[in-house]
Amino acid sequence: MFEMFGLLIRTIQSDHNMSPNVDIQDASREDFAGVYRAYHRRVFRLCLYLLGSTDSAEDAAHEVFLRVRKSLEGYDPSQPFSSWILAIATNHCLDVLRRRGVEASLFELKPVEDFQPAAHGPSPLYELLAAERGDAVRRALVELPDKLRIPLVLTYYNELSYDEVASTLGLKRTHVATLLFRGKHELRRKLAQGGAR
Amino acid sequence: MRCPDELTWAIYADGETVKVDTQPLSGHLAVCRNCRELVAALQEENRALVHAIQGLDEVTQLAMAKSPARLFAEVGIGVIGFALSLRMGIDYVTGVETPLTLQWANPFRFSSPLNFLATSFVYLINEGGPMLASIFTSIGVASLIALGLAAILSLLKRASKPALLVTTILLLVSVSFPGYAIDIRGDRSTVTVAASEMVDDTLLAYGDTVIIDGTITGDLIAAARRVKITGTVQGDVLCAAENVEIGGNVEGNVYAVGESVQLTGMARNLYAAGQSIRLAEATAFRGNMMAAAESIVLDGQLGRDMIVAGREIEIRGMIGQGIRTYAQRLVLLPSARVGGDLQANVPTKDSVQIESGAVIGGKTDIRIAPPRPSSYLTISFYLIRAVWLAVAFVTGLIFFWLFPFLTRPMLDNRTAVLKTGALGFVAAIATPVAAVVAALTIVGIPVALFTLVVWVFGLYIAKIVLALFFGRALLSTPGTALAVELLAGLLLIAVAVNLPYLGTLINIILTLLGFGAVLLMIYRQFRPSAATALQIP
Repeated sequence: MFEMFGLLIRTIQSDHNMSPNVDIQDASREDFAGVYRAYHRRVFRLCLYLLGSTDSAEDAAHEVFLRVRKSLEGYDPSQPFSSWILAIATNHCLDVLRRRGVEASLFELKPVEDFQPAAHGPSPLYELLAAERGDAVRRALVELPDKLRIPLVLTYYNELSYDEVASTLGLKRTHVATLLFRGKHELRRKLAQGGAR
Repeated sequence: MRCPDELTWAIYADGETVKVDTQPLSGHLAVCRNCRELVAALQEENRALVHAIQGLDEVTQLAMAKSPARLFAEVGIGVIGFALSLRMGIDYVTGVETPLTLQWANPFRFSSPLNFLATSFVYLINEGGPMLASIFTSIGVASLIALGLAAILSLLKRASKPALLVTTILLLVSVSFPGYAIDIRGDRSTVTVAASEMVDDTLLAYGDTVIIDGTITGDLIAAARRVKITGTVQGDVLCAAENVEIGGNVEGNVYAVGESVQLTGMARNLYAAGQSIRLAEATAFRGNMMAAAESIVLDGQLGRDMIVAGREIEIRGMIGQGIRTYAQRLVLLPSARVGGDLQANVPTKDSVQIESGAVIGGKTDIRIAPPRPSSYLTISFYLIRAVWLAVAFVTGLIFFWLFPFLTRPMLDNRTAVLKTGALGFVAAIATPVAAVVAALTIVGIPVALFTLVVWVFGLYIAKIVLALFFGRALLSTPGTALAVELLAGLLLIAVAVNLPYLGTLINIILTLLGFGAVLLMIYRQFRPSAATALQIP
């Protein structure tokens, strides 16, 4: 029965998957299927980075597309569609994280922390490039604490500006810069350790 | 100018330096080689980071592809598991006495729903050999139909949902056998088939009271507070009610569950469970009787064997062949006639009372099994638990190896636990009901059987899945082997479900919770986002 259950769900939803990909900008109203097809991977990956586990990411991506479908009407074509959909996903994941009780650790951090990288700490470039395959980087990223990981993801995955990240997270711009800086240092450190292992 | 710190350059490399600062920084870069190199490196790092997290290299996969060996193992285990469960199911039904006798010792009596399920199950596989043969044929037919359906569905996948639905329904209707048509009658108060009325197919009736005075050519399936039959049912009667009264003529079997089951008519076999079961003087059943109740009285005639369990059993009528009873007290009145052997399983010798005048054609075998002081003091109690533990452990290991997604129940907050438990509760009850409904069409019978087998297996797996979850919570050190966690969890559950009195309740709660968790995990695994997810690094 379970197999059938899964099959049934897949069958019901398969028409979303299978339809031909159409120009999303134009046909967004009609073709949710195209949206799903075109953006599912990006949204899922964003959720994976933000939430840190495949399970929660699957749940979140699912939710996000439900929201997207509901609010397709409200999409403003003057902004890029991808930014819009990623913003929905980001907000949803932040909600999830807040519900998990992460809020405290993310927002209680003092705005300006005196973070000085160790003089002999890993230098930029080498560790990241040395990680021949991106999965080492991705793994290290997922292992970062939320407050360091989230700004990194928003900046380098969603490609938001500092100001946009700041307003999304409700932080000050300088705080975002510090968190990004610390996050990258932490990434380097993790990758250096991974390389030594 | 002193060299700015790395943070400043990091912001610069991100192109986020505030306007007023840009000029001096660019000026510094022009003259400072170290800083120039640092900025170049930071920019290169950013590019690498973007490249990596946007997955532009696309090399890894989170999920390993299934190796052919593993697929083979999955299919093999599935087939063996199916065969074993089927076999176990049949054994359970033919050896019904043990669980039924145990039920009376159970302080939490969930006997009615459980008996209803058991009775439904008996009904499904009652016809035994010939039915099994036809089932295998049906499975073949059903697979063909499923294949055809799948093909048509894939052709139609661009069609709209309503079109799909209509096609599916049409297909299902066209493959159902019209001879098994069903008449459904439901009412809040009374459903009556009048004496002059004839229902020319199976009747499914529910309501406060169901009264059948007329004729039903198919089966009668009834659920009500009171079910009364005085007419004729040419098929079987399945009913669950507070009061069941069956007079009239049933040409098939009677499956009845009720607080009080009163029989006065004729039928073939009788399968019944309830508080009190009484076969009045006029009763004439041609076949066997299998029943469990607190009190059972047989005043009428039974053509063949009688296998009953209960507290008090009184026999006044005629039994064509043997009797086997499990009872606190068994009385054969002078009018009793038993064609075959009498086997009585009773606590003391005085529990059997055979009055002079009662005739027993075969041997009388009275087996004394005094109630044990406490099952906790016997070795076999622990032996059985140890075997359960070992089997569950091995099953768990195999299962988690085959279906790794079953190792991650989402029970991290109270809401999730409540939701999961509710789902488990609904699914545990709805599945057999759905199976019985599915079995009403010939095509549905194999599906129903398969569903029931999977259901039984799911309920079994439920506690194992929870065991792993508890084991993990218990040994919260990461890196502990799965086997160790599973064993720890199983031990915990084994102790919990065997606690006196509370154990049964804990067992039911854990089973429902685990069942819900299993369903949720399977749902997560098979929905489209999950399927796509497996291809994403």
